[in-house]
Amino acid sequence: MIVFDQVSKTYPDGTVAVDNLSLEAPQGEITVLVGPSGCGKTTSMRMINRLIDPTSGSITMDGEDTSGIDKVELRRRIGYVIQNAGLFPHRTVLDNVGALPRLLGTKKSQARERAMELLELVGLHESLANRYPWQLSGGQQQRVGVARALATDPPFLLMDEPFSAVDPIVRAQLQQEFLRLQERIGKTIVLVTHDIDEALILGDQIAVLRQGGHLAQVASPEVLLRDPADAFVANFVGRSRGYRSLGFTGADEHTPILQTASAVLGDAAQTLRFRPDGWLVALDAQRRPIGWAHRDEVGAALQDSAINHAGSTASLGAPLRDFLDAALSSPNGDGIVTDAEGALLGVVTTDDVVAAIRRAKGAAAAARAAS
Amino acid sequence: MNLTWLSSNLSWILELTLAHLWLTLIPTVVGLALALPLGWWAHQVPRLYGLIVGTSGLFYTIPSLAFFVLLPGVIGTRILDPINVVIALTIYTLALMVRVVADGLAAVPRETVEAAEAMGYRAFQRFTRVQLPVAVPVILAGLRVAVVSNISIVTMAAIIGVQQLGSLFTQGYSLGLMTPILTGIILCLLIAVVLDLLILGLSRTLTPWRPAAVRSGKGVLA
Repeated sequence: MIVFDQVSKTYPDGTVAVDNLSLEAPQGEITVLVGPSGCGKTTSMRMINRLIDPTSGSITMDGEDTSGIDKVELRRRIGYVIQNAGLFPHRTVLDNVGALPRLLGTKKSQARERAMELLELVGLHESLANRYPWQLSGGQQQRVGVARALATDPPFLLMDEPFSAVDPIVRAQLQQEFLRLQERIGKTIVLVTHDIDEALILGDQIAVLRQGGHLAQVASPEVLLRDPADAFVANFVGRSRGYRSLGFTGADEHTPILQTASAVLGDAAQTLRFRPDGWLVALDAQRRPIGWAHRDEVGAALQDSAINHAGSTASLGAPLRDFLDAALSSPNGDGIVTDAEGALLGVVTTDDVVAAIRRAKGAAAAARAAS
Repeated sequence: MNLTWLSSNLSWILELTLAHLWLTLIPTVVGLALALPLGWWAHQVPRLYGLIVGTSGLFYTIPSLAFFVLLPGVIGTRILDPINVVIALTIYTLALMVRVVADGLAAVPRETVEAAEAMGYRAFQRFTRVQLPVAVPVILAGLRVAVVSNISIVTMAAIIGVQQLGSLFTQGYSLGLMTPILTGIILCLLIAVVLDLLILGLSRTLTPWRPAAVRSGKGVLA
């Protein structure tokens, strides 16, 4: 656990970067520091490994005051991932990952062996091991950066805008991979980002900071969306916060999943049974939904060209957001629901999803009143 | 070409060539060794960059002959001692290389140095294991300039009687012969080309990590 206790950072010219910050980053969880530029989030993170020294207050790691630990020793206990990866251009991928163990006296062969394991852990093929950083894509470099930070298996990890420099598709992929990785390694992580979407995806806990280094709110993503502390937080979290907050509540058992007409791609037209409104769900050979098809569009057989792909699907047990999105994106107002394997279960109507949302709000309000 | 003169002076010419090599190489190596910490300092403390680079650069404006003549008075050596030449050229190399080293270190990506610091590299470890290896192409490109310029400055020492290839020029002048002068010029050129290629080769060997196009083409090295 990393604990900030009334930490402030004031520069000699009087600029207050961080103002009286008290915060806990719990063991084995991801704490995200988020806020607009100039809010002191990066300064706060850098005070943990003493790249910057606080003006007042204390930071403890597992109960030990960091000001009493030699800076270099402290940093070697904390993995560090930086924007653009900051790899050593003159070292191969393998030797980048093994750099710190080598510095600390591990044998070259041993360091390389460990580095190979780490490459696998972060999803990099071993054929990349002997490349130099300039020969890698941005996403690959970032993975090497994560592997390098884990080389000495430190209990703590600091990440400074780790996924900001890659394109949105790679970023989403890296974020999901990183969450799966964290499930395996369970590090205590402090991550800095300016991107609230990233914070909501990655954070077990999110600390929102505002200009001047004030902590505006620290809460789980769910609470942050449902119950922002003030107008600043609400604004920062953004416009679609109501919709996003549905990502944390599941549909209850009262939400009806209705039977629907369906057919497998390639079925002859005369065998097709359509719903009264003229639609049916087109399936692939594994009975996974592909989209909706309308009677007027289907020719001699059910072909891909007749299918409307607009509708998303929700799997049973998914958050209400997925159900609402499936219903809203459907050409006929009914959302397609699948089982865990992705096979068709049935549909859910927009009205039933909205009713489920109302029930969830009521339950949450009742729970708050009771506590 | 006067072949008689050439053949009867062969061993002397060889002696002069070796002397010229040493008088060039020792100051180049010592000057670089001194420029490394000074350049690092100038890079590390931006406030001092102008002072350190400016002051050391100033030495380059002192005419070499004046240097050779004045040094004995300043440091108490004998006027004909080759050490005067070595010291003067060391200072010239230093003057050139301090800026090169500082700028080479500044060209190392900021994130790279920052990552090393955050990982727990001590300042000296950062310098030797990260900054210096990455700055090698820039530093050695600067060294190529320094070494070629040293080869030509060394010849001036003939005027104060320190023997090296420059002595062939004074000899040729006093005997009224073209051959010694041409021999001196050709050998100076030869040494320059060989040393230049050696440094280029060293740079390539030390930087297997650079993109091939940059290493062989007209990139930083050219």
